[in-house]
Amino acid sequence: MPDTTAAIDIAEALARALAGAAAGWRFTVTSSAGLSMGIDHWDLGGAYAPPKKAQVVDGSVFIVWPDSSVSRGRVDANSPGRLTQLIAAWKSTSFRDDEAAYIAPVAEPAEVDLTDPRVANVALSDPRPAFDTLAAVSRAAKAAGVTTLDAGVRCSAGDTVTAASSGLWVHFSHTALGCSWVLDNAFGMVRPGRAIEVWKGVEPLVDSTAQMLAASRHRVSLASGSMKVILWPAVVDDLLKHYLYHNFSGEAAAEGRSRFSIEDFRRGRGAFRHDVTIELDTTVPMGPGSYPCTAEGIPGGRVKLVDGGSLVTPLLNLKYSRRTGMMATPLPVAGMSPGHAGLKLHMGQGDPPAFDSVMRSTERALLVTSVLGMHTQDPVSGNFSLAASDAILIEDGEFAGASKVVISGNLFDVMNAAVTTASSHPVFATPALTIICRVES
Amino acid sequence: MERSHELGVYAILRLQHKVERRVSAVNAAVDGVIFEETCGVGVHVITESGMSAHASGDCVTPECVEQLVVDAAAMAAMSEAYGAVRVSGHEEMPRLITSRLRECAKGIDGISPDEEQRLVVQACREAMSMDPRIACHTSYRIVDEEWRIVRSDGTDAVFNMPRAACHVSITARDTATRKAASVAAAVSGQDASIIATGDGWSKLVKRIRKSGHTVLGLLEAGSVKAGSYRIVIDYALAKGLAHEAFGHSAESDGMDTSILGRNGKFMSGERVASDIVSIVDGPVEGDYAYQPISANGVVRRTVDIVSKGVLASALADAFSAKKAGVEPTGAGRAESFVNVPIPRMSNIRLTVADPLPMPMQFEDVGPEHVREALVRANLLPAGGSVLYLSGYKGGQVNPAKGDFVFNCSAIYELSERSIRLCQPAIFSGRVLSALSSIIAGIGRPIIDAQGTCGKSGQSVPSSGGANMFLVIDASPDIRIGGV
Repeated sequence: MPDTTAAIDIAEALARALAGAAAGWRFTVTSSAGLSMGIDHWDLGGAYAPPKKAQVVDGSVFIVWPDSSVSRGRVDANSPGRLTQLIAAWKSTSFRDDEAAYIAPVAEPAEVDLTDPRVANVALSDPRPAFDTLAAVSRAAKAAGVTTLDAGVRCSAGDTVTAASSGLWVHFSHTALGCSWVLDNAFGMVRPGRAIEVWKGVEPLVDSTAQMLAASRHRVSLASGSMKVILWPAVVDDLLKHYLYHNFSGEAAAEGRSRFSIEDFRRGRGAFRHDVTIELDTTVPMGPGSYPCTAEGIPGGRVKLVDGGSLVTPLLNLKYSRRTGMMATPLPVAGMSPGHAGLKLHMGQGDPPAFDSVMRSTERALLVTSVLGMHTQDPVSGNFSLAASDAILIEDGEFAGASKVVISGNLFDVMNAAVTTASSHPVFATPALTIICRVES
Repeated sequence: MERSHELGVYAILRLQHKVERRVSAVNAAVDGVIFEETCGVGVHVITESGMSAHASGDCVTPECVEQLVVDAAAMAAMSEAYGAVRVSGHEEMPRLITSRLRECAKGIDGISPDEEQRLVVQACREAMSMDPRIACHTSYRIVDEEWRIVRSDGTDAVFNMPRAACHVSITARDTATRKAASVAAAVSGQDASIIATGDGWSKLVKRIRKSGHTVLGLLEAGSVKAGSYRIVIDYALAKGLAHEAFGHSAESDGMDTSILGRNGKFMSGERVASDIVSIVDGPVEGDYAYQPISANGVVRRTVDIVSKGVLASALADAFSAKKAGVEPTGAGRAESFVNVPIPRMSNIRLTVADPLPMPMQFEDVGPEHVREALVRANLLPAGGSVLYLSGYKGGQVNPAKGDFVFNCSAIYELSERSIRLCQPAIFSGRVLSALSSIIAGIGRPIIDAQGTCGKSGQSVPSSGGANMFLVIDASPDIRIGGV
């Protein structure tokens, strides 16, 4: 069975080596074993989606040298045998950054459950549940009359050590898994998590995806103009990731590259509707984006970014916390969608209505489940102009066909519009949004 | 390889060693310098019955690699019980023993980290000196990546992929009006000469200044009405069109659903553009995306995808070439040792025969020069307008549907009497409509538009270009989005 505890040995070697060379240091090292496999156009495995195992070590190091310059570097499984050379290489790339040259005092890490031994067993020794999950997705897609199926499953088990010269030493184990499918290159779903239940009961979800696909086969014509659009939770997630993460970055705000300034946050400027709250929680039990502490040793936890429509704080790492004089915050896991990372958007009074009931009561709207071109948009302006190949027309609560459209507007204007409402979907942490925007057909 | 022979499996072993240094600066202060060195090995096995599996790790010892072979062979055998598809084509790959290691005068060891930091900071200063409303983030990376591919048939190929890129993101923000805009300037190549030589630095500074003027203008710019127009795109956007909208559709692994496939076969011989248009992909020495050998250990060929408007060849590897009805071209690329190679592009360029003259450097060309070229060629209709889409902010395509979306940094509405700067808007439509609507090129080809190609969860360096500008006629299938 592969060993995922290499992180501990490497961390101990790193700590010993840095103790004699640096004025201060911190690092985080993860060793993990992963398993993945896929279905490519109905074919299980093959040359491009075969069963894959990977065992790697990945870590980042931050060093404050005696002359107060700093260095950043990375480590892998081969690092312990050449730490002397690595430290020399890191020293040669040192630079002055007085606000970053700081090691935080020890803070108690958050307690959060991140491990499912059943997932670890699949990743480390018994891949059969992964094959079984793919088989279940394939059966459900066939039963639904899908023409082309692409799908994948993955899981991993690992250990992470985050340590610092302040005396911080946090060791935790974690598992992760996920499955995804795309039907006819058009409609899909991604389900990440940490517990094996993510792989259970996928058939109804594949079937619901297939229902949207079936609706899209009947093409309808739409007149261009303003109309009601329901943004699927995954699309809202994409919008939040692209627009909010950039503008709530402490670095971007402090350096004048955000829509908001640090002063806007200090003064609690009203930037959203009064019933909008945005919160990040990196301690959701078994949450894909949860952790005990950041790589800088900041404890995981909950932080409000927007409260009652007013800006509260940007996302601040240690450097920009020192620059701005504001508290460092937990940070969303890099690359992860906001809903999975623990970002919660709440809009409206009380609990949002259920997505299904909103759909049933909709007289006429477009349901947009995916868009092309999100990464090409300018997050600072907030303007969006996005293509949707298969926007589904809803009439009297029923799917009535689909059309290729371009939706456009300004995300911040849309979020602040009185007509915009949120609804909750049982599969997603992020709500769907019903908006009115420009639609070009 | 001995262990794979004992187990009766065909093996492809991929050893990767990568050294990278990244420097970033925010508003003329160094924000980060990261040095990293990674090494690892991936083993792709294929059993006698055609079952395939892959195992990888960053422990590079004979014992670890032997274990990877054992793990992969066991998974491949297990997958047969679940009905996994059989793999073929690997035994037809030609045996290759070669070493293609490219030396660079200003490679990762040819420039000091201090000098890199100084230049990256200076790039920020160049932008910020234009106006106090400008903020700037500059990122620079230099990479040397070496691969060794060994196969059961005795193939042993070594090659490297040196590269460097500098990207300057310029944001202008007007606190009074609360308007903001951002654009970028970039240069790329095989080494630090992109910023550390007189020519390289001069090109970067010119691009920064051009982008700086644009971003300031955008603070006051209006928007263009959505619709179909005759448009002009620059070579970076044209590279995006060729790469995203066309190159991916020509990759052999997706031919079952590609718009360039019929019944799973590449539609070689089909006319897709006028006979002035050609599209070529292949490695170019000194280029950011240079890769002379595929990740399967096959020499990468330069491929005429479209020759004089007619589909000619696909980008293929040995595993899917036969099924797609094409010849293998050594197109397999992998991001790292943990990945399985897939067919993809390197440097793709779209060229138009007999282009209109543009006797200037690209960095010196303004919208007024583009308008003059159009007027001289009677391509600017009297009383009408042409939209010039400047800069490239990325794009996305659905190869199965043929839908594409691109975004630009800015739009200039060119008419006989005026040039109006407008906010960027998406350029969307259908791939084949766009290709068949190309009516002219302006200027010589420039092929240094750099990017990162994402496919199947893997990112690899890409590049390419076109004539300095392409003229695309109005078509109901091609629209400018509007905001």
